[in-house]
Amino acid sequence: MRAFIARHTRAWLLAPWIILVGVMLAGGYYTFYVAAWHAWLQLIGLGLLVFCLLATWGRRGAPAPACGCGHDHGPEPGSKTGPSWPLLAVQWAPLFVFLAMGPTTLSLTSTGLGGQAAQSQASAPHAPVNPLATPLDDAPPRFEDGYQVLNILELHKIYVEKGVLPDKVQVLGRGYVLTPAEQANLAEDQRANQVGAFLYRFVISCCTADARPASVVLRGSGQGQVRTDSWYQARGRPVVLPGPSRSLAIELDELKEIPAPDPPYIVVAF
Amino acid sequence: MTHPPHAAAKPGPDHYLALTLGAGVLVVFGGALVNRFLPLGSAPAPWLEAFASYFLAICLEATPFILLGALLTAVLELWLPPEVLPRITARLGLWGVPAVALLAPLFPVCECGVVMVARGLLRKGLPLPHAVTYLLAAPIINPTVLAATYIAYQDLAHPVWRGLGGLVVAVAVGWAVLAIKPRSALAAEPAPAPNPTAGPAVQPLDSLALAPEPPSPACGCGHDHDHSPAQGGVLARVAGHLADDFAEMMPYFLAGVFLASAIKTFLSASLLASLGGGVFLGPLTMMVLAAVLSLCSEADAFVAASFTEFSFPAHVAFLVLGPMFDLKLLLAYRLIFRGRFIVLLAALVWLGVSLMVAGVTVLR
Repeated sequence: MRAFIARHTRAWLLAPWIILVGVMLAGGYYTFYVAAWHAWLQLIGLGLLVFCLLATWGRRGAPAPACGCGHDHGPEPGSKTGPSWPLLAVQWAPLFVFLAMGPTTLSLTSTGLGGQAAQSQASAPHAPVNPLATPLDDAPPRFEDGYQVLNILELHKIYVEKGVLPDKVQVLGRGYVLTPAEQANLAEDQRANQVGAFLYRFVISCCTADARPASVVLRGSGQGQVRTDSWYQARGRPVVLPGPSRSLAIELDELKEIPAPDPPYIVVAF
Repeated sequence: MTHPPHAAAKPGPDHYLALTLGAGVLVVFGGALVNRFLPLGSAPAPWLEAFASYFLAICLEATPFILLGALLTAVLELWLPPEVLPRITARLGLWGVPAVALLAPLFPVCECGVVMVARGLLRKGLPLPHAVTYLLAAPIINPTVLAATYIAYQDLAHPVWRGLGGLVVAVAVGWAVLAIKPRSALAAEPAPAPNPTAGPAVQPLDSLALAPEPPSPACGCGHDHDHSPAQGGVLARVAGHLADDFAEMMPYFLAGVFLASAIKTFLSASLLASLGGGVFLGPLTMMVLAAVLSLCSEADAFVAASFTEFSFPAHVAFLVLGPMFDLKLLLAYRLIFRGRFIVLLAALVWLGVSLMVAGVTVLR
């Protein structure tokens, strides 16, 4: 027979995880960290944690016939055995991080990938996500005011698959304005094309640990309004910029600042 | 009636690991917590957002799988008779190792849950080489993982070579462990004596199995414990195993995730990838990337597919090594193995994957 952790110690170990997963699910914050399809897995996890806690509490006051002494074997006051206090405390680490930071999302600013995204990842043939390998919706095209509503990854996919682009599109993404140093590191053709600002969204399959940015360059007078880390809805004509980088761009008709979408990421389910 | 106070126990390595992790979390995020609740607090540094995002994402993503692994372990613990695994492995002899790899899909868990299950199997008398083979094979020879690999690459070659490569490396490492017969490999004490019902052929293998849980002595046992199996029903016993295995696993897992998140925050994958391709450097770079990125085996193919500048063998190297050995697993393995054995295991896995990639390069 196995020696078990005492019930109040076990409750202390389980509580932070129940709170964390419960808050993530109840507040919808889990979409900041994992793909939406993960919700049912989180529910199963929460269910198992609650089950453990209830099963622990359900035995309160029960005798311990295995040792025949008729009482509970919790640790004695001052006992040095059982999980040590650091082992108990670290169970609270994820909840502590969530409390300290609040809900967080990945951005090119926080990951420091802005320059690299501009150099290679705005380019359709070198998209960060293999667009052909992304099982996207087969739903019929949706239009708003004559603009086809797409996400950035779908735009890449259409170009790579069909070699042509829709006439007018509406995409949303987070803005990024290149610094002069980042612009200096661009490929020659990108500098000639005056690539200065783009919209991007991170694409995830499972969680933000596997996030990759997909982006589209902004062209036209509206690009001057772009501020790094703000969210925008862009409408315009998609084009491929001349040169070997073949950067995918939108000639802007309209750029509107919007609140962050939920989920903030493009989720590629499988 | 009260028991006499237990004797003070010497803190184990997990105590110091937890202490280090706790200090790390406090140092990195303590300032952010203070700032958040102070009216004049400043915004956290941008890199902290990425660090927190990675840390919380991997925790959330993996927790259900670890719990499911612990649940499976609890079921094995309660209902698998202890003589079954030693007897079967003794009958199969050397072929027991590939048999375990081929049967791994029976317990289809990803690499976060597999550590718990492997420990449960060791506890039930599965010999160390077989358990190592299961540990390495299960996260790869897994229907979900192979299907995700197919979707990510849109071809059959990648999932087929991934499955074959994973099988070959897992079996080769298992046989190597069988041949080396490492002493003191397990974090828990080895079984004192072979199982008499398993016959004499079992002895060399079974001596490397984890000791079965000793019966709880009647009080005065020196443990901080409840005797819940005896007093609760089946559900209470399952809950006891599940909760305690989960609690034991998480400090190791959290330490691995913290390390992986730190490296992901400060070391750009694109920078690593820019080290380049080539016959030798390409696979090596992809193996380092797999170890550093610490991705779930169900999603790693989507990331690997984006590294289009690398060759096919380099992609196979990434897909095979990642679920076997990445930063978050490095510390999770500490739950089962001693440090020296983890180093040996790492060397065997890296050597095995390198040889497998050489084979793929020649055959393709």
